[in-house]
Amino acid sequence: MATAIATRQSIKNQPLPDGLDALWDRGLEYCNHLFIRPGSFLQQAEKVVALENDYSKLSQEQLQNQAANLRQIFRLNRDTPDILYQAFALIREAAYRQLRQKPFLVQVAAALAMHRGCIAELATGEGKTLAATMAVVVNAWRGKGCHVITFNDYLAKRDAQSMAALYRFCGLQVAHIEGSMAPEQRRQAYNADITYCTNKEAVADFLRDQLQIGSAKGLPKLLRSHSHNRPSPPATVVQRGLYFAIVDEADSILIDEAVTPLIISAEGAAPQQVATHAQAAHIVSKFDRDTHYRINPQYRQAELTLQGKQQAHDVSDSLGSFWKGQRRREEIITQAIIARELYQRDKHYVVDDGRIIIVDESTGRLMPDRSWRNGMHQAIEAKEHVEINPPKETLARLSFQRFFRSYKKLAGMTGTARQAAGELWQVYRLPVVPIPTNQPCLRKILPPLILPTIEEKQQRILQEVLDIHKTGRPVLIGTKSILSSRQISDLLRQHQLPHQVLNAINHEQEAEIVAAAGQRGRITVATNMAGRGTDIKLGLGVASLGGLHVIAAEANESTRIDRQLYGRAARQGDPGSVRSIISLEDERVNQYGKKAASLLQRIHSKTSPGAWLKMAKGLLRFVYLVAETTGRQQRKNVLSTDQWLDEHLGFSGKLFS
Amino acid sequence: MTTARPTFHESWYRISTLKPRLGTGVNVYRQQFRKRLWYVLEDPVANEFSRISQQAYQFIALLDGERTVDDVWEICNEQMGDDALTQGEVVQLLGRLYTTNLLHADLPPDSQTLLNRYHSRKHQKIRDIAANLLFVKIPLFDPDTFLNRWVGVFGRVFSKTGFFMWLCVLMLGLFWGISNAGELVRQSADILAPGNFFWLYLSSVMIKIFHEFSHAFACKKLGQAEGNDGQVHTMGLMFLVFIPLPFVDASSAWTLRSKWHRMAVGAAGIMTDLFIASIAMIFWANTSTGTLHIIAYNMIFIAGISTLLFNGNPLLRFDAYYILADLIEIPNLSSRAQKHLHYLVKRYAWNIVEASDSAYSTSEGAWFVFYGIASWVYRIFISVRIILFLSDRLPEELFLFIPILIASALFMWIIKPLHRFASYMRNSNELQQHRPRAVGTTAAAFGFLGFCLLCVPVSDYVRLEGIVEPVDMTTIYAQTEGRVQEWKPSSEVTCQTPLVKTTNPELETKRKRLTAEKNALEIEQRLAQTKDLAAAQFLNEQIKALDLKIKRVNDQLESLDIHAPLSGTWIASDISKKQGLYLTRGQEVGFVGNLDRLQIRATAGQAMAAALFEQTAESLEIRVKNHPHKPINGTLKEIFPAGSEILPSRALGYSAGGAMATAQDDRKGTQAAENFFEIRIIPENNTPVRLLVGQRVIARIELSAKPLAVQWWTSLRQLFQRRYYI
Repeated sequence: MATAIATRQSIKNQPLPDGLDALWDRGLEYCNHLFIRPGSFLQQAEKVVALENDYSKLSQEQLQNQAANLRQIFRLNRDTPDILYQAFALIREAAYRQLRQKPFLVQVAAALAMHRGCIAELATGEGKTLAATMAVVVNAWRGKGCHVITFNDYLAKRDAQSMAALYRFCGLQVAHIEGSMAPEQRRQAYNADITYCTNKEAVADFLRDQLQIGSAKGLPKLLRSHSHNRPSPPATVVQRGLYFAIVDEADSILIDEAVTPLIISAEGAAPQQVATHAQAAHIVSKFDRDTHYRINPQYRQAELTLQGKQQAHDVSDSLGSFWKGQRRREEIITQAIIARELYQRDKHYVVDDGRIIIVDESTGRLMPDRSWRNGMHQAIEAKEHVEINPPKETLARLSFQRFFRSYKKLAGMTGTARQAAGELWQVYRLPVVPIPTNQPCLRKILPPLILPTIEEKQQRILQEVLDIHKTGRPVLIGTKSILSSRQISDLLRQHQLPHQVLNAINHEQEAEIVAAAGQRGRITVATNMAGRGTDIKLGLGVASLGGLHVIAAEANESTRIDRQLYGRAARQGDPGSVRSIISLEDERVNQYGKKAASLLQRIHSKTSPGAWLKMAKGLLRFVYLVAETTGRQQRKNVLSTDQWLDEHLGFSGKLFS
Repeated sequence: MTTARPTFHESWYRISTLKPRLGTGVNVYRQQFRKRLWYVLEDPVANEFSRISQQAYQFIALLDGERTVDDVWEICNEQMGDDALTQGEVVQLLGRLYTTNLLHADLPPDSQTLLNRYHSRKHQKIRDIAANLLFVKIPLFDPDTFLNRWVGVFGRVFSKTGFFMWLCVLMLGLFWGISNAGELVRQSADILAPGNFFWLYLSSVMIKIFHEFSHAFACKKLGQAEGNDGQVHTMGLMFLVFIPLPFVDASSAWTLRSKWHRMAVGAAGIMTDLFIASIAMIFWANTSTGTLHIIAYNMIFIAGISTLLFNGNPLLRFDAYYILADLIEIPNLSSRAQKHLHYLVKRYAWNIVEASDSAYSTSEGAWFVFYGIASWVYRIFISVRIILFLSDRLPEELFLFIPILIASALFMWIIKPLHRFASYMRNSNELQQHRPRAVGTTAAAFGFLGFCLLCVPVSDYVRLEGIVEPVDMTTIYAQTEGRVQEWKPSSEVTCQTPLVKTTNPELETKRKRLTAEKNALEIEQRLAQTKDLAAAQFLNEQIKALDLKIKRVNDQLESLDIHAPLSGTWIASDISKKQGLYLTRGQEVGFVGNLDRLQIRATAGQAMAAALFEQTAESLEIRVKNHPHKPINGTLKEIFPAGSEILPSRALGYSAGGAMATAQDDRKGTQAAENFFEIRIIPENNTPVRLLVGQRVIARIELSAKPLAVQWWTSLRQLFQRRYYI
């Protein structure tokens, strides 16, 4: 048990295990799995619950005094397991008095697990926000700051405000960070005992602080700079160190969002490149597909043919010195081809007021702050004939993995962690503890439907919606991308089915819509991201009809994300059902199993439905396997690239030491 | 994008504004390989070297501590166009130089990273040692001062006169060697006798010391000739197959500009070995016995073997490898050959068009293909040979090492590369688009290999050594002691042909004395018949007794002439030497046998015999030395456990160059070390080659074909069974 805690301290700069070490690491994980059992946390939780009567008798004032005493003990690190149980029992009583909610046994067990530095897997709807408060309070009492990382700004604000009364009662200040806040506000928020914020804000603030501090990092360097009478770093940093963080929706934040590192950039100046992109766009406009170049849509790549290369050579003779070198010439022309062929207006980007704005493919949100890298943005600007801005210059870059690995103590909670347990252990040294549900789960998972084409899939979804809608049960249709949510919405509109569409654009409104998605007869179309962290409470009488029915309308990156969606139905002992309806033309299937999928499509009419379904299921399993492995590998690469750079470019000053 | 060398790199921002430069102590040496310029950067303090291309050097040279990396990159692009380093290459280059402590950045050093790097390197070293127990190096002290003091004296060797003298001595050694070739080969049988181990080791240490110091002095001398110091800073102990030997690290020869100088440093060791071997040869040929004679022979042997198998063989990474690499001007030949082979697989088997090739030209590519495959095969071969050799000769107590060695070799040659390959297959970004094909072809290749090993039967055979004997044979022993007077040379004889005539004067005298005694008694008897009848009766009895004695002596005298007991061929190999010698009673003189019907008595250890018991022999061939192309067919008559541990002939034992281990305390060399089986083989009639009685032949018994994997598994099990009786 001790290993989980002991190793946490030292993983900041530890490389990912490799080769035989990885095997050894697997062994460690297995041992942790053997020792850190939910059962032991449940036993401890029972001790906490047993203290209930001691505290319910106390007056408000006595309780607060007790809290102040405990706070001192924790601040001085003099706590023992018994004191921890007392503290938990006290917070439990305080929660009841302040919020009228008393954490259940399982919630206490989850909080104990988090206090231990584990990821508590709590079924959706079991009240994660409330469970976290106990671990948060105890660790905030230590006085070194406690971050609660949430999925979006809205959730940060909502959770911080809804739990504020409890924290205040325990003598703790609570604050949250929003994207629009000024540095001064941020500093105040981080100075609070408890700070609710999103992962992106936390990392961005951290990076901006690092840029502020500059090259004088680490104690030896700081001492040196002082001894040289250089001015000490300006006191405009907003954070005060990374001590403890509880990550809500831990798998989403620690795994799904960790694919791309966070980058802070500034306007750069490289005027000569601007012209070349325009010239390249001009040259490419005279090229023909398959004569001058070939396109590989699967991997989003383009390749010049010999003829194309020759023409590029001929045309560029009269142009500037940049065009002399064959490699750079062909590189920039290829880039222009990719911009023309593979980046589609209104799908990948929009043109707004003479500016190119990236569209996030998974959420459909506009991302005005982002730009493509390595000249791609300029190539697209040239293609659209808008003003070409010089490429942005990267100032700092940090992967989420490295950021979260630098916390002294890390914990998390989520509904779906088990499938990612291996990775969570390897990267973050976080063991996963599955906590049993308070009430037995009544979710019915119906056999999945796999259809050969998208049209057939949509018809089938429509059929399913009509069938369920007739009974009065609410339906939630989960899609992966904005595009498909629109398509399904169109389809529903054609059949005069009233419905709501959620695209994860406005979190606050969407949370309200999602909260209402459990009302009788409701139809809701939502992307996976939309309304996360909000419970779908069933309307009056809906439970007796059979509860919410969830349709997963697309194959996701991993079965874990499917489970996230499934978790929306049948919460807290309510009934509910789930069915996934997938076509062989879905993006995910296309990406990893195109040939097999088209083969299956062809033989669809010739084989018996049973055998065909079996094969299709096999293909789907394969696609999931490949997608999950690829994703895991990508995330590992992000971290190991980071570490390689730190070791080999150490002379450039490490990002943090 | 399918651009092989993308111009931009996402981490460029981290170095673009820095103003690094080469460390102040770094020495730069210019070298030319295959018409390409290379630069070797040396950090004399840490003894670190880095070889960089001309483009890279131009980039580094422009970094003066004033310009930023970004400025320099722009300048290079301006000047060199496509050849200029890309951002990614600059990141790689500076990273590499930084980790080898060759780069100096104007920032306080990051002590934590430096320390981490030191620790990880130390761990790596320990791991390397653990993973490769056959070759372990432990550095001990710095010989540079010593070399500087003595290079004036010993350095003179590296001159034209020195070379000429070396050549003369070599010629002389060769002359003596050739003229004593027979004796040279004969004596080699004793080289691995347990009693010789000490001398063998002593000689190898002595040779190794000379060998290593000649590298060091060559490096020093030629380095000074080129104006750099030719520093040699590491000397220590190397454990080659657990045997401690000295070594010197002369890797600064790398910085020598002339390839002939570099080759000379590499060759110095071998040349010294040969020189010592020549002197030892002259000495050995002109002495006959004594300790020095033995040491000289051991030196010849060690120098010869190490030159032929190791240092003189470019397929192993010893001296000759570096000489070859310099000769054909391909540095890092071995690792680049491997990379090139990978490239060929990637490019042609997996169709990865953008794979990068480590060969700069077709001729380099050809070298890589040849060297990569040949060295790999040879290394495996030599490892297996060493392990087999040791498993045969190591004493029981040390046999525990064999499994460790096998495990270590398996780990190094099979498991580690396989694991690396598997993780490459799983994780490589390069394979992203080609993974299905790569996995498919690899699976097919391994499947094919596995099929061949597991399912395709390959002929299996055992080789036995045997001795030729007639089926009907009588050994002739001397029945009475006597001096050899006449003898019949080996030839066809008929029954009762006299073979050897011996005389025994003592017996003659005895007969004469007895006859005289008898005569005396007869006279007495005649007298007594007239006087005393009872006394005559008594004397009569005495005479009868004497008669018996005389008859016995007569018989003995008769048996002094030995006759052939049957018709056949009389063979007495060294009878000519026995002229005038005294034969004791029961001494073997020769034998008479029927040469029309010969048999072969072969011996086999437990393991081989087991194979013969379990399976039927498909066919049997007998091969005679000097007649490899004329095999004689034969049939296996019987196999039986030899009751005694006495070999049928001394020729089959270790002591006479045979394959059977003999007991160490056995002088005659016929006492086998362990129980063995005797196998009787009847050769066909009308053999193409005449078999000679007493001749040692090899019987090759073909067994039923089995897959290779099964055969290997059986031999491995037997190897362990023999030692552990599991």
